Amino acid sequence: MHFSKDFEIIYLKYSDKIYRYVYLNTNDPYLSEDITSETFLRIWKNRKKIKPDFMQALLYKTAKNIIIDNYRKHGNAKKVSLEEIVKKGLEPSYDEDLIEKITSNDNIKKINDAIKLLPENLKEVVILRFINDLSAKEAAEILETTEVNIRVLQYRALKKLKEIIKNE
Amino acid sequence: MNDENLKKLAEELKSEGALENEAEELALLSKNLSNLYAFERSSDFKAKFLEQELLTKNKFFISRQMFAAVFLSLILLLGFTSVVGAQNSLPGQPLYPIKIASENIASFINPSFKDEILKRRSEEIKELSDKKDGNTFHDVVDEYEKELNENKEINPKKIEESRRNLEEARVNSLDEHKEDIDRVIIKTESRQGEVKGDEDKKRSSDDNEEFDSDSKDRPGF
Repeated sequence: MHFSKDFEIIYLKYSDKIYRYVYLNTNDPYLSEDITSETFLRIWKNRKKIKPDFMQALLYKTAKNIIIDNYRKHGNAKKVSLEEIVKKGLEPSYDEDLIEKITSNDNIKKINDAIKLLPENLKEVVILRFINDLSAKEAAEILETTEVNIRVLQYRALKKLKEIIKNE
Repeated sequence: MNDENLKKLAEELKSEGALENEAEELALLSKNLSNLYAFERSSDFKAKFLEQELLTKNKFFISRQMFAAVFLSLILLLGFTSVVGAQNSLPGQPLYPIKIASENIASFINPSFKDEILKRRSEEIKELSDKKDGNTFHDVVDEYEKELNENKEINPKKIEESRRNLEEARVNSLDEHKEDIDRVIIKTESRQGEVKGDEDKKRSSDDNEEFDSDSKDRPGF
């Protein structure tokens, strides 16, 4: 990826998926936007080294690393880390209408809470396979496992999620 | 998730051990999940991010270009200042090699600049004599002689100026240098004679040509 146009296409294609992935991992719509922005800025910074074939997997992995770094730095406080973004001369901004829609939706809140209770590997499979509609192959690539394993995990994940929802 | 994918998922779940009803229920749950989280950030919002991001990059690109332009200008200015400053340098001084290099380039572009180089060497001999500087004196005298021998068509005015510089150099020079200066003065005068002879020959040949052409034009000759 060398040109601004490629970056624009990639951002438009994947940024909502990355946003949802981050949101379900952090439960914070503002932090999710910051991490999504940071993910794409890191991709742009390393654009010369990136092979376009692995773009989607790389975006998810980058986002996950930022989530982990953020958690290590701020723990459960979920502090919004804007330093990197501001340092790059960008004004942080948020889609307030969407945030209002998400935070006021009780079903989303309920499912968020249920997903939070899933073991980490099952949570990842639910987000990638059923929320972001990725194929088993794509999910396997991101989670660095096999398609067969994804099929096994997706059954367990849905079963467990159904159980959690039922018990709430 | 469309119906086809839903059926496919139900089949996958069954192959992992789910019963018929359970597989359908779980597939339906996945469809609800997909629908519930199908939200997207607005196009305007995304466009704003891209605009900001691309603008920042462009600014960065411009600032890099400006930096390169300023850097290049400074290099050129430094180079120009060095070359100009070097023109008054004397042998043994740090900028003297730049002076020689610039003279070589100038004489390559314009061969008549060799006359100026001869005059410059004579000026250097004069200045070194005034300063009683003996360290590089012989080198400059050698260079002067070299220029005098190599330059086949010396401008009479320049050679006269060079001769005068050498005469003046002789007055203030160290005693041990007077012999060298006398030698180059003699050589210079000898070249002056040759140049004068050449000039006279040229003039007389020009006169003859003029006479011949005049004769042809006149009726009766």
